[in-house]
Amino acid sequence: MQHITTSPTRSHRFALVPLSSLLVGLLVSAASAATPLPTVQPTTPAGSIAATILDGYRDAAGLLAGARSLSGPNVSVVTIGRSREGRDLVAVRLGTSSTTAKPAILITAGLDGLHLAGSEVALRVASTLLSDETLSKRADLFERVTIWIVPCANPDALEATLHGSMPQRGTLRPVDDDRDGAVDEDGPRDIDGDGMVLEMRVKNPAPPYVATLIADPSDARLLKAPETGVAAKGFEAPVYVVLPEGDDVDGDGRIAEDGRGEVDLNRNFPHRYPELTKDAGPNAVSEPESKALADFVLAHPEIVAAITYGRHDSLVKVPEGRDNDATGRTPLVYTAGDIELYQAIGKLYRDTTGQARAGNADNEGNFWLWLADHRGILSVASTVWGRPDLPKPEAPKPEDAKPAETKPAEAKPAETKPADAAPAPTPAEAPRVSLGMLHDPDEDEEDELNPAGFQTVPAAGQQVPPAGPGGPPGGPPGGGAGPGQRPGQGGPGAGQGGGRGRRGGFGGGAGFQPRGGPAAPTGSGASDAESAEWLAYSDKMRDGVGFVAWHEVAHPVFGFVEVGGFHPLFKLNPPANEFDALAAKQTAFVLELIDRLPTLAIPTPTVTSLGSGLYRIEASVMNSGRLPTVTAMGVTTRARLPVVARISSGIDSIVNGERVRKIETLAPGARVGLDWIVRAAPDELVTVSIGNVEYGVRSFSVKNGSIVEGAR
Amino acid sequence: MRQLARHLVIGLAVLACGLLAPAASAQQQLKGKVDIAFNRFYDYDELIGLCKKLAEAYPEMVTMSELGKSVQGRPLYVLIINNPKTGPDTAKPAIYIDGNIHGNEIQAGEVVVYTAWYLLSAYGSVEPITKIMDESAFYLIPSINPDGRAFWFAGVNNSSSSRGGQKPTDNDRDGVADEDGPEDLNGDGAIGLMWRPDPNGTHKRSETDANAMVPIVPEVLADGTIRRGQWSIAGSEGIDNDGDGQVNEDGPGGYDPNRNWPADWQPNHVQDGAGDYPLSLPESQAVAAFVDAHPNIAAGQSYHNAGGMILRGPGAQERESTYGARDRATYDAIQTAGEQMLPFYRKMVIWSDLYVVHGGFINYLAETRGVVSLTNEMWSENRIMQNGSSPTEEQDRLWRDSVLFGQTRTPFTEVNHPTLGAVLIGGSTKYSSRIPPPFMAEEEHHRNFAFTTFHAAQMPRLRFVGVQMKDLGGGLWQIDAEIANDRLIPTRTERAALKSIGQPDRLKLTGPKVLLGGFIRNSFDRTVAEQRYRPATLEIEDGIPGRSSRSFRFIVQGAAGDSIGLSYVAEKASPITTSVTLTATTTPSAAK
Repeated sequence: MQHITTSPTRSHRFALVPLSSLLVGLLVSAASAATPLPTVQPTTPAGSIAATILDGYRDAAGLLAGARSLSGPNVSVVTIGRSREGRDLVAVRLGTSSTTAKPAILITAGLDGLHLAGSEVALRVASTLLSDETLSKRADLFERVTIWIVPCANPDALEATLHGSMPQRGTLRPVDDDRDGAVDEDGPRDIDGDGMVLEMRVKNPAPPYVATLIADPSDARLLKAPETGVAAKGFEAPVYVVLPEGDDVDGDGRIAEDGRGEVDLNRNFPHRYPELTKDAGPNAVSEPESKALADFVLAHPEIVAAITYGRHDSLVKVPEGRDNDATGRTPLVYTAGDIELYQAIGKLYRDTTGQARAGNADNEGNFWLWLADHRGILSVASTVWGRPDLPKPEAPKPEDAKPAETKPAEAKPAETKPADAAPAPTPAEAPRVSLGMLHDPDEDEEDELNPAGFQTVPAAGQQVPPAGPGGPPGGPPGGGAGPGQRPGQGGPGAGQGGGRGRRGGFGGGAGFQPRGGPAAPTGSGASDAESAEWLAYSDKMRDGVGFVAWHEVAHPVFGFVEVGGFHPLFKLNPPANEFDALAAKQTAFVLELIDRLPTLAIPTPTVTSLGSGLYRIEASVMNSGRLPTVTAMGVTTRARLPVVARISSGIDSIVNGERVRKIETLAPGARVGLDWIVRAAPDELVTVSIGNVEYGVRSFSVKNGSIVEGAR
Repeated sequence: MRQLARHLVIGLAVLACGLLAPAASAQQQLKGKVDIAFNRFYDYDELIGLCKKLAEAYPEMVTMSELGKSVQGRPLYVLIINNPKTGPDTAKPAIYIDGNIHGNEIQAGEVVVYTAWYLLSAYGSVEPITKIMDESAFYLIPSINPDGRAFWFAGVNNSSSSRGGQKPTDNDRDGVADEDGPEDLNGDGAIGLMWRPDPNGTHKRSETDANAMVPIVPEVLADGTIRRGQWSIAGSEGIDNDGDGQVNEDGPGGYDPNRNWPADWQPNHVQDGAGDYPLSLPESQAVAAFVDAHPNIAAGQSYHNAGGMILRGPGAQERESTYGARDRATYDAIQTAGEQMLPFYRKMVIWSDLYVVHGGFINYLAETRGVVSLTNEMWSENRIMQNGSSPTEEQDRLWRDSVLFGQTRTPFTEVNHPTLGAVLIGGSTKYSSRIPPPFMAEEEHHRNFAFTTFHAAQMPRLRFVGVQMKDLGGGLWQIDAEIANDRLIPTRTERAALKSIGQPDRLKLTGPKVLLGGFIRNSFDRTVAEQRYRPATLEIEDGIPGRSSRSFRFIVQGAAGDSIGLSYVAEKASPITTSVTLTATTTPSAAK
């Protein structure tokens, strides 16, 4: 597609380009808006990419209504900004309306338009916190703490995901990804007309496309890079290239390289901001949504802790790296001085929620580490949900739990295999590259935390690739084609989530070009194992909704292609009927955290008359909570407030001691002594106040050598 | 590079022939429509008043627009100077010039107004100025820190205070913002140092200057006693308003607007004064919105004071790789010319020659928007004796007392300080350093303006060197086009090409069907680096380098008599077009 249709002249050049972009934009949106979008949807619209996977999820209006329907004396909803498309960005405030300073915690969800579960869980956490059951156990909860919940930080993306044919991770800022002067003119699109944008695999593509993959012999739905090099057993020619579902509307030789938007909000915050990279925006905090969140945090210095629900995890697997960025002064993740603290919080989370698996993503420019490393707030990230264990075999002997004894890898039942999956399964020793590689590289799954989880899988009758380079203990599975136990149909979770057949299903179209060239193998055994695990979960517990079988479709560039793959929303979002249970667990964790928040205590102060109107006032301030008042990073950033102790005596009346004393942090149980010698006239009231807007201010007063108002 | 520099000097001579006539005669006095005195300084409202006068006097050449408002609600203005008869500003390469991002660096504002005044007054009568104004657009923002400038003039300050803006900031982190600023205790209109009497003092009163202290090095005298001074510094002038034992630790504002830009922005614990996040200040947001809406900005200058420097990025060592060899050569050539035009100014790199800066404004322009950008630190003490050296003590005394008639000094006065007791306060007014005396200001303005105009004259300008046509027979034709950029600045900086900033240049062939298109090293090249898709519109990521040319080849299908159009479009240069007619000959055809 040519955008400059006449020979440009000085006066025309700048007028023409935007005009033609506009026209292209109109054409594209007209084409993609074949089905009119209802304005308010109580449930997920049929025929969208979200159908089935997100059955029962609310849209932006539904979430907003949910927030506004929370009622009671301790709830208010404030608008903190407006999205690019004009939707309200709201924060729910749980807490007494009293203006007494107290600490706040912030729960943020829905930054990522692919992670919709976070929003549903966040709203349910709010209602659970407000429930009589919670208050029966913690009657003073809302006097002790304010809880801010931002249930949906990116409603435009959520709407686009729910109603469109492809998921939308970031904001809807128009971006000319291929820099050809036309915006969003050649995005991924629904070639086969099934309402979903998935992936395409192209067999033996003509130049300039280059095949790099072969079908994985253990499961032909998956693809892998053939072995090469000295250690390879032989040469195996690559057969497939995998691309996003789409064509080359603008004729530039690139498939689907300039799609809708976008700016990923978790690449748009200043911590390790990935300057001048795809989806990061023109600069940090460039989006109305990120600016609203940032300004909200800055306007609320009482926020001392934060939990962010999304594609990042810092709780199931606590990051251990201690390196700093290029400046040497900001950690890549957590600073060394905080790692033990975060490890303890991670353990608390796992113990409380039982969550054993979580995906993760890279940490450049995300929100939760901006909170931790720039704002100095105690900040953690939760995926809310992880892939569950597969059901146990029908009659397992207890001692059979070891992988060596459950090794036989069985072929999948023939009827569940794609028609073209001719090769019999062979021992899966080669590194395996699944379609997962086409998902963002920052979505590398990291499930090695729970080896037990892997061990349950073979028992369910699913062939499992080696968990690591060494292969499964006990040697290669034998032959593999023999009859195996049936997958655990009817087990927990099976049949939920919509249950349409695979062929009509809900495939994994990641709407983007593979970064770093077409289909570069990712290679590691662990991530390959992940794809097989997800496939097994989809097959056995979700009626196959997580993966759309490859199916042939005519294609304007390649003649024909096969469309299919993992559903891009599948790995991040549980069935809706799990929300209540997940919210109960998340609420339990929030309450455990709240119970540990720092509390300033002032053990009984003393006053000693030294004669001649001189008094020694001795007090101390103690953190009687189980978390530090400020993290190590908070002290470094100076973005958090110290606890300030002030004495009301004029500077001339203080014989010894500081009139204003700043205490940067108090570890749990730590106590800092305060000591003044002041001159006081008869009946003069001397007041000592200790605290800040985060933890409240306590005070006591002294008159004529005695405490007249106790420490509150 | 030395040769390049020599070319530059020649270029400069050509450019400046109307300004600096040969044989060292005086330059022609300009007959402008607006008279402005440049031997004085103007507060923000006065400065904007001058801009409005110019905009009213030259309505066809000046568009004055409000970009946004400062923290305290002052409007930020840009003057767009452009000759509409030669095209809209957005279709020409533009130079962005601002000043005074640091509120105290005031002459950086006047030099921008001088630039507008000179350009408008000289247009039509001074040939090189007329030429560059016909070829380029000028975006001038006299002060991008109106609050800081206004407060520097209106408030009690010294030559270094009121550097930032006026957004309340809790510098001492006690929960209250801006509660402990300085006070003018001795009523001299300036914030000076307080001196307390001290028998073990670090200083003594100067014997030559009644308003100065000189440092004393403790020394054992012949009789065994130790010589010490009688006075020690007791802090900057003010009281401990909040009673925390510190004086003036939380004054108005308290951040650095030149650390708030989205290029290597770092938080306060790494870069003090950075603000909450990049572009968190309304002034930065307004200016960045303007810059981002004008991809035709090809050159940038952000005036500061002081020290006589011509600075380029990067601001930090870890950003060294953001300036590749080609870009460094471009900068060096322009900076070297500056050293020749500005006595005692030196070319420098910010992080290695000055100090580390994260999130600086010209770093934003250069490193994330692909604009060749410099900062001039105006005025240097070496200009006092005009010999490249700091004045001697005696020269300094005469300068102070007999050239400036003592106007930059205030007498020491004794003040009874509430916590320190009797102190001496005084010494210097806010004009005592960093700012040239009024009688030298105009020269500073002019030389800096002339250098920045030279910088502007290096913005890319393109021409077709030639279009060669070859009849290959059978209705096939080979078209070779060579395109030159006669200026120092490339159409795309190395940084822009590497990081995909903005759009690539485009060479478009219209008319016959294009079967092949691509790059060639020269017309004898047998191999074309082919652009396989959309070959009629070649995308040129690297652009046309400075003082250089590039060649392109098309194979087209056509018939004799067909007309071929060629156009080259670049974000940071005026577009060029040409056309040729297919003729059955192999003779080179000259470009129009």
